[in-house]
Amino acid sequence: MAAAAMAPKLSASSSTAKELTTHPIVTGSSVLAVKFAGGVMMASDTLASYGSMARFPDVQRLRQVSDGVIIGASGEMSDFDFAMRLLDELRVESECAEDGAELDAGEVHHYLTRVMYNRRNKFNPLWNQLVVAGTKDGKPVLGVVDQIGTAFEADFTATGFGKHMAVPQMREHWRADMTEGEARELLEGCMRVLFYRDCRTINRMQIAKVTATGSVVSPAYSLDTEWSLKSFKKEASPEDGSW
Amino acid sequence: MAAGYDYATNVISSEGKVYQLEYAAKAVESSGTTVGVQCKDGVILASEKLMMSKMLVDSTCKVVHKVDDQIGVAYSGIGPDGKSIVGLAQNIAHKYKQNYGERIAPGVLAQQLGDILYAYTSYAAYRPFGAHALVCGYDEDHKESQLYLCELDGTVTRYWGTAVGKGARSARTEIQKLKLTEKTCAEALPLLAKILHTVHDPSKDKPFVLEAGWATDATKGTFSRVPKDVLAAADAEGKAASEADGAAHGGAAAAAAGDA
Repeated sequence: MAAAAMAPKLSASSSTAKELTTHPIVTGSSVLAVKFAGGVMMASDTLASYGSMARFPDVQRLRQVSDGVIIGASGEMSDFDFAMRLLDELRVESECAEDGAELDAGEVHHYLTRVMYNRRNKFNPLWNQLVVAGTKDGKPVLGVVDQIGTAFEADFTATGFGKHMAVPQMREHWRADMTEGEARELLEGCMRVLFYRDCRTINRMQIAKVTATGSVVSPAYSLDTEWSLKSFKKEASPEDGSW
Repeated sequence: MAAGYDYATNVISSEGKVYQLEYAAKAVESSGTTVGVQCKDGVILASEKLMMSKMLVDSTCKVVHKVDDQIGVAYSGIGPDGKSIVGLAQNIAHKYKQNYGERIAPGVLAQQLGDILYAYTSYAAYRPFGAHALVCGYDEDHKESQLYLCELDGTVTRYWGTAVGKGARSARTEIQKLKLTEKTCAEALPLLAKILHTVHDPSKDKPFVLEAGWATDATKGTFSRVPKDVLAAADAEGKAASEADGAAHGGAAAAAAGDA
């Protein structure tokens, strides 16, 4: 009796212990976003990696939820698709009510925080860092929520490797009164550094913009790069590489 | 005549009738008329929404509803039953999209809705719905708009144009004359408004509000309510045309509405 109680349960269900999403499979790298005067701008590359393999080079990671809301995602791409499907269901439900109401960025962000936190509590998270951009009452909104439900709003933000490589640049160069052009220049600068330094990115990116008048996601394009910089040169000594 | 055969839907009378279904249909025959037509460039639903009180807000108790991006449902009959049917249709569309990742075709939705309406006629514990539903929408596979009628007994039929409700009979005759498949939705709307004004008898019926929705090429197959200004213009045009006809035929229109 006592022995039986101590023996580990080996029923079919417990031996193949219930395993939920413990790691992401097909992933996207950084998403960057900054507020500028009158709106929010976001950038990401179009790569979805399979581990370290650059498996899907043409995945759109910045997507429009509605005219006034854009979401960018790092992490598991299938979970991102799922989250977008939830939002589409909400949209249809809301349109069927025919009351003219539409979720704004603040509401979409809050909804996603509830979904992400709820899934984390089920130990089955949506493995993403989601960046929500839009406007609320004419003012720019930029929100972030990750797979454990951590959520906040910020003036500028970055996910993934960008958290380490882009945020310092944003801290240095971001201003609340940035023009659209300056915001774009800042994001492209950050994306360029990420392309140089992050092994899970490619030089094929998109920019998205939301202002009070609506949103656009640009077609994919490449940045000019400069590889002759001194710090990129492999020195003669094997210990002294570019890093 | 019914002699005890009319209490349950699971009994067929010796004349071969299920009386409960006929009684339920009476509920439809005493409610506002709803018309649906397939036109050259889309499909329209229009309803004569009878207002039980002068104090009711115009937009209340809607009878034309959107149920998915490209599909609309309108009903005639007992209000809450109609609302419930709309809810069922929304559920069907939602589930279909979850399962198959694409939008449901109007014909598939109408069939599934019909299955549910039928189920409600075959169990002693349920009563049939007291409303007919018109389902319209854009079929993405066949690249065309379609109109279906789901009757409360579960019958599902596709029409070029049809009507249900109080003035259904004369409305159907009028629709047939108009050859709306050769007209655009924008052209058809005032004509439908005219029909609804014609079958409406102000001396007997409660006042009504015109409701309409369409899925047209202009809305890219999306079902939406007809914009307020367009609807108001069509309503006024239809009313004027109906009154002009009535004056010309010496009240023949009112008589037609009376026998419907």
